[in-house]
Amino acid sequence: MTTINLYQNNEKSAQSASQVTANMGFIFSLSILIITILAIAGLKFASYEIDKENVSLQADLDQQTNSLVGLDDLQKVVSLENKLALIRSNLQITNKSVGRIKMTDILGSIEKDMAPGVVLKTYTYEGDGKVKVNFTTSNFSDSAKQILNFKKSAYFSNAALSNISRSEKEIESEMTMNIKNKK
Amino acid sequence: MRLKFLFFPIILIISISLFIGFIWPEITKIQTLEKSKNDINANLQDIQNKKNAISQIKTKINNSGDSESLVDNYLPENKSEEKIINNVNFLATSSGVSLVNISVKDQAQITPTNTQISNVNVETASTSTSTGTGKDALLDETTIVVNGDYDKIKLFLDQLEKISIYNKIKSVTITSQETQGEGENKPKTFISANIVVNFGYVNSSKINGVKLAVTQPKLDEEVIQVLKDYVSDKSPVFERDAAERINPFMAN
Repeated sequence: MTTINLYQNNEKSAQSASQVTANMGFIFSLSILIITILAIAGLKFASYEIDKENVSLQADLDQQTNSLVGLDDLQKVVSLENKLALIRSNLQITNKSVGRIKMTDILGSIEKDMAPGVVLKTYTYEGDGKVKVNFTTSNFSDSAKQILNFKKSAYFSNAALSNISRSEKEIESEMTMNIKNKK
Repeated sequence: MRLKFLFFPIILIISISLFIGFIWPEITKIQTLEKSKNDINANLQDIQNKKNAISQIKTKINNSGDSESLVDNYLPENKSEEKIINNVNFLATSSGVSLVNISVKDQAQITPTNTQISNVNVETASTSTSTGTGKDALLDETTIVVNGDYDKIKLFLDQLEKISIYNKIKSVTITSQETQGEGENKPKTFISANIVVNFGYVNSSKINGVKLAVTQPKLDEEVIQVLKDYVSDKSPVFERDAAERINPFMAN
């Protein structure tokens, strides 16, 4: 009769498996440590390299910046552009034409609105499209016609009579109004 | 064996500590450095673009002939009262009106215009709105009094607006007056105009190119063209005229 010691065999196998697991765990742990240390070293190196590159770039930027300050060409260009912008604004240039109010156009508009028998005594352009006129007539009818002309004018708006008075010779009226097409 | 099993949690704790203590700060530092690097590169690119734009605009200015001098003469960088007086006098003579008086007030007494600059190509980076970009024109308030016929005063006004100096007519007062006369000297009606004009100039100052955002290499040629067409070419030859005098208190 032969006796087989199965129990002894199982113990050895378990011990062996446990040892393998422990070894693998050890290697795994060691790998983690190595990877961590390598990562630190790699990151330190990368940080150093980027920092070095930044210092170089910053020096380049400073040099380029200094070359731009007080640059004659830039000075001329900016000055010219500034002047052109001011001129454009002052002349109100749009579509290749000057859009600002022409003094002669306002006078021309008044000429068109004048009724017979009315004499302009004073014309005042007060800026911002405001116009004040003093005119004389020989009778109230002509004064009324002229007031209506300005009120119904195609060139002026907000025409209002400020004053009307009769003197020995004539009737004097004063009106204020705005230029219609003022931008 | 037990040590080997203990090794894993110990290493794990060490690794986590290293990550928190070294790796994460380093990653953050690299991120910051990368951001800084990108910013520097962007600035360098911006400066390069500015230089290219400036170079192109400069070439255009040089190619556009007398545009620069036209604009510089129209809107000078210094006060030029002598030019104003000379040009107004010339215009009065050529229009056939009598120049009664001309007075020029210092710009310090005048509030600068609210001129807004619509910088198409060059604008300050700090102010992208339309107000305050660049410099306002400084103004000399000039009061001109002329007498003459109505049509001649109209002609003078027309020419005055087209004078080759930056100007803005502030107010115009035209009055008709009658002269006293008796017998053969019949009373005459004459027209007098009182015109208040602001003539402008701009002070130049050093420009810091870094603060400027030069966008497109484009010159506002429309303004130059309009200016060429609009401004009157009627201007007197005006040069320095001086000769040594023995007694400057005596007339020649």
